[in-house]
Amino acid sequence: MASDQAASLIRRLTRGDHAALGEFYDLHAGLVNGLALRILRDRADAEDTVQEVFVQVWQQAARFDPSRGTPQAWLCTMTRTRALDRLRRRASRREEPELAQVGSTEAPRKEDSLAVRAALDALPADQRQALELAYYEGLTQSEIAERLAQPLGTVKTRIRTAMIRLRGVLGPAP
Amino acid sequence: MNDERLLEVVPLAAIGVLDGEERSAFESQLAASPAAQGELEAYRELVGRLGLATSPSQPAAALRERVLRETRPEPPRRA
Repeated sequence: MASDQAASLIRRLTRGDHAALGEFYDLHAGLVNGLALRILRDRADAEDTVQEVFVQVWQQAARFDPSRGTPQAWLCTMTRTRALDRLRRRASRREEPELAQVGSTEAPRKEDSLAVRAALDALPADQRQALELAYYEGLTQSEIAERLAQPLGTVKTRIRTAMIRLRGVLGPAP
Repeated sequence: MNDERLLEVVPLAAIGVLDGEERSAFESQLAASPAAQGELEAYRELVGRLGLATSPSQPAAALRERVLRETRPEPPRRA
């Protein structure tokens, strides 16, 4: 399984095995870049984020705790955090790039990806919309309420309900 | 926030949408609730997995070398 291979590469990284970083990159660059691109919609910004994430992987591999989730979830968390930071810095400079086309199907989907995609697709549209504004745009609950012109309580209920459903469908960390 | 209310807010905290007083109240009271801490960790892991739904997209080929160059350990120097 890809996760086992990734976990064994992380063990090599913690021992300072630099060759393992290239292998880890080859397995995950598409995942990290795809998520960064979905958030930032700019190829150069996304690739800067990819670079930051893999440098962080190299420096902090020892912080990965397999009991707390898969290497892929760990990577996605780092990627989202860094991409949203970059999005906020960009917004504060009022710079908006030409939006890149996102969403390609060049890499085969893994089972985990399919399960998450199916769980998101199964959410009612209003819940999914609120969740996506939180996840991909990093908006707070008040900002989402404003964007959707909905009461704050409604937005909180939609996001909470969506999260509880996703957890019910996707279960604990694989 | 009592424990029940704290647990209710956990999914929102995990995806990072809390703001204002609700955010400060949650953060200041989290330390006193092991139950909420456990739930927060589980929900954060779930949030991490949501990234898997995004379609992969390969970055430019040159990026791999940039990453490897930036992280390459310095060769040992002679004294």
